[in-house]
Amino acid sequence: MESKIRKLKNKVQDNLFTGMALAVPVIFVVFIIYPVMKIIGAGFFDGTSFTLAHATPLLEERGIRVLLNTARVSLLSTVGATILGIILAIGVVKGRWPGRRLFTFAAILHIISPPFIAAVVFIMLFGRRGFITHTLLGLDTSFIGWQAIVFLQILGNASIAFLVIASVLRRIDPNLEKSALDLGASRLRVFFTVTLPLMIPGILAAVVLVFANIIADFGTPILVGGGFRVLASEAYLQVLSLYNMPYASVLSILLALPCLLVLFMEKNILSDRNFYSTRLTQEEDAADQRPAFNLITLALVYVICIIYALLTLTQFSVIAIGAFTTTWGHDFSFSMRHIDIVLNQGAGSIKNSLTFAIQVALIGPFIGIVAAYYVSLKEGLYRRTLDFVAILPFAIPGPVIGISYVLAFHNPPLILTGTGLIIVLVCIIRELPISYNAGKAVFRQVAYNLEDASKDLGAGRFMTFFRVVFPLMTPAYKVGMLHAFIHTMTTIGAVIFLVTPKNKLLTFEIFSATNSGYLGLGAAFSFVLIILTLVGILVLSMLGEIPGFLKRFRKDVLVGSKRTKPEQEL
Amino acid sequence: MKNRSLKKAITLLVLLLFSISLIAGCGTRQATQDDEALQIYAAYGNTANILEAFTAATGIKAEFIDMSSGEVLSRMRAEKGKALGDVWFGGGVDSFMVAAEEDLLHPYISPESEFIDDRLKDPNGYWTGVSIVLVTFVVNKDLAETKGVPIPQTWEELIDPQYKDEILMPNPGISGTAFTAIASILQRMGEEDGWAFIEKLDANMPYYAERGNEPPQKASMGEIMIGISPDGINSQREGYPVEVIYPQDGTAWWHSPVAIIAGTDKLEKAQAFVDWTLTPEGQEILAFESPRPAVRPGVTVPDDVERLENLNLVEYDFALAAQERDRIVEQWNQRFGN
Repeated sequence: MESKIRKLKNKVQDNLFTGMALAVPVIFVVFIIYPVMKIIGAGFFDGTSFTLAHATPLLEERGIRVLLNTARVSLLSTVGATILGIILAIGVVKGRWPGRRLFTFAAILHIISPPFIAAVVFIMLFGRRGFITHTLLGLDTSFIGWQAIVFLQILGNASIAFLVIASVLRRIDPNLEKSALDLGASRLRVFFTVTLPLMIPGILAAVVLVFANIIADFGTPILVGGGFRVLASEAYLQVLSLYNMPYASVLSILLALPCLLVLFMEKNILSDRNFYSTRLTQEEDAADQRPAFNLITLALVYVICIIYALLTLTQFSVIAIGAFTTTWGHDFSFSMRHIDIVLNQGAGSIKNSLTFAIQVALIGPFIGIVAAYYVSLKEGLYRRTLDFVAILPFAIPGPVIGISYVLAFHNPPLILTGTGLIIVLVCIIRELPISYNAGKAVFRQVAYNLEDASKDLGAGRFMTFFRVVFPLMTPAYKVGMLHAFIHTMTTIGAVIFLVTPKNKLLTFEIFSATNSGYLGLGAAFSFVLIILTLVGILVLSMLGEIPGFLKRFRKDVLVGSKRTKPEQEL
Repeated sequence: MKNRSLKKAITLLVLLLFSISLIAGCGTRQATQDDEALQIYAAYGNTANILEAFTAATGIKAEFIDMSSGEVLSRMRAEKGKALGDVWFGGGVDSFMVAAEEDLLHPYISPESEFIDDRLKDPNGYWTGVSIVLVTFVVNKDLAETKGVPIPQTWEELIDPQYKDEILMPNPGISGTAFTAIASILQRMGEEDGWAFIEKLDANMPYYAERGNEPPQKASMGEIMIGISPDGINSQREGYPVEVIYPQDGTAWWHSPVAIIAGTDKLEKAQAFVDWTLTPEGQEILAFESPRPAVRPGVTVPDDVERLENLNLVEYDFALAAQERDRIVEQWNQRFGN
């Protein structure tokens, strides 16, 4: 009787698992491939015949300049942001300085201030009348040009790189480093031959993320570029001002190419090597107090961490000042007028942003990780195709994916425009690569034989997934969930064409307030957005602790009872 | 046993979270279908306050989002056949003309529109002007003082080398303001002299902005001295040290219209909104919230809004400008584009 029930249960679980496995390709086809086909159709087809006519402007002098600009900015920023991310990750994970846990929070704080507000803040700090450059130092500088873009991109994206790399770094078995040290290797040697190679999956995942993020960002170049055009801003303006969807589509497809290149590079580097670590727990090993580097290196790392944290703090303070003063950057008397407007006229937007962000944060990473797991079980061309599709949303600039969703889901068979659901969907799809990549990065470090062992011991696929694979994925889930929440709270490009008066979002309010010259109101909306996002992150982080808590609970409470009657489990 | 129930608990928790979010998702969707609030695409200022006054006056609920004219147009084209918005409120009149030509608008001649000058409304009722937008210089007084240069009063003064790299204007391909400014210069001076003047103006521009609102914003923050924009009064009211200059040798202008979007299912409410914006009360609120001259004669406007009779308005042929738009933008892009 008991075994029959168990068989039935296994069957149900297996079917559930098959359902998830079916859902992955279906979601990919409907919400990624179909809209992408619409873009390609718009870019390279006139009716049904193939054409290159829409691509010719790119071969003119201006088009080539745009391409060169894009290459310069995205490469410099990606390298800068990744290196800074590595330094921050090492400083936080390997260091023993007080307050380093708070630093993770500071990094998140950095990402969640919306891009256009960050640009306004830095103009106020470093611009011609900037507080630091003009008021304090008496300089007459200007915070405009490609250097300003690179600066903002490095600062903003270093946090993302940091989060991804740190989550991988935390899982590296310190025993490996310890052994190497014990065997007499120098600290530098240990870093370059043990730590760094183990970090590579994280670094590469960060590079892909950061690069795609930078190359697709149209807001920063438009705000501080001073006429410096890149592919993403060009595509955005083509859609916006000229409704030149064919040319914008060509530009988008072009944007996708380097992202795909980076992606393939990541794959090829990884496929040649094995990244093994049998460490499963994240428990701190307090016994070893030896610093990972010599003092000078450590000091340098800390200084960089502190400067970064200070910049973050300054950015937040300037926004807070703007939210509570009469005229941002000009009249510093205390005023609640902006906050009042936010809480009254902005109440609907606050509610919408929170609702969507929570939905995306809960569902998004689940889909991403299930997809990563599912893809990892597959082989050959099918696997490569799925892998490609999962990352594809990276390569499509936000506004273009937004337009493609309008084109794809405005008419039957699937009508979604005007609903909140389409906003949630587009955010889930935009965030899919992050949880997918985070999942994949963790997978690579974990020996597959763990899973095999679980299967050999008689666990079903579903059970193996939930009991063995999913707990291992907790860090990835956390990263994905936080990113999904943050992204949905702060995104503008992807949703700009999907937002209706009913479904207004906080970012939209910031965008239009800043756009209409109500900088203080924009700061107040940003302030509220940042606070809400922080609270959300706190709550979600607690949710992320639940699996660990359950595990400890099980260990402490249940293991004892199990021991008394082992045969019941077998 | 306990172990198994724990597993169940986890599975249940996941399923529960799913269903909560799904129900929440459906809830949002349901509300969209049931709620009868008028959906407005707005390229206007302070629309929130304007709509509050509209609801107070008529009892009709209304919701809006702010967009630029270009965005509204792109959106309406993408949504053709099934409009998600009911009313398009404000923006560049040239965009409304394009939309009317593409059958994106629903014609409606409001009973109130008989009080509006014929030049300011479409004869077929596709759109009706609600206010006059003026292309002005937004000048940062502090910066002018520090640099020791006078505040320019005319276009002619702008080409003086002392303003080198101090003037910011948007790209006319993107911004209706910039296009109207350029087209006005060409109509006022004639093609040849006009382009020669624009070339001299170009020498004083560090670059061209990619958003219509960048110039007044940068002028407010002291990043640039002079921004070409209609929105200086907002920055002034916010408390920024800017002065709004109406160029004496020709102030370019256009009318910002209201229109009903084709395919709306709330036609009566949309018509009520159009009517209200043209009534004396509505006009007064519009002029107060978004400081621009009203189209309806005899309406009280705030003190910081310049009286039209004091200005040297450009004699502007809108139809001609709309016809020539592509050529002008193309020619401009060839010579001055970033």
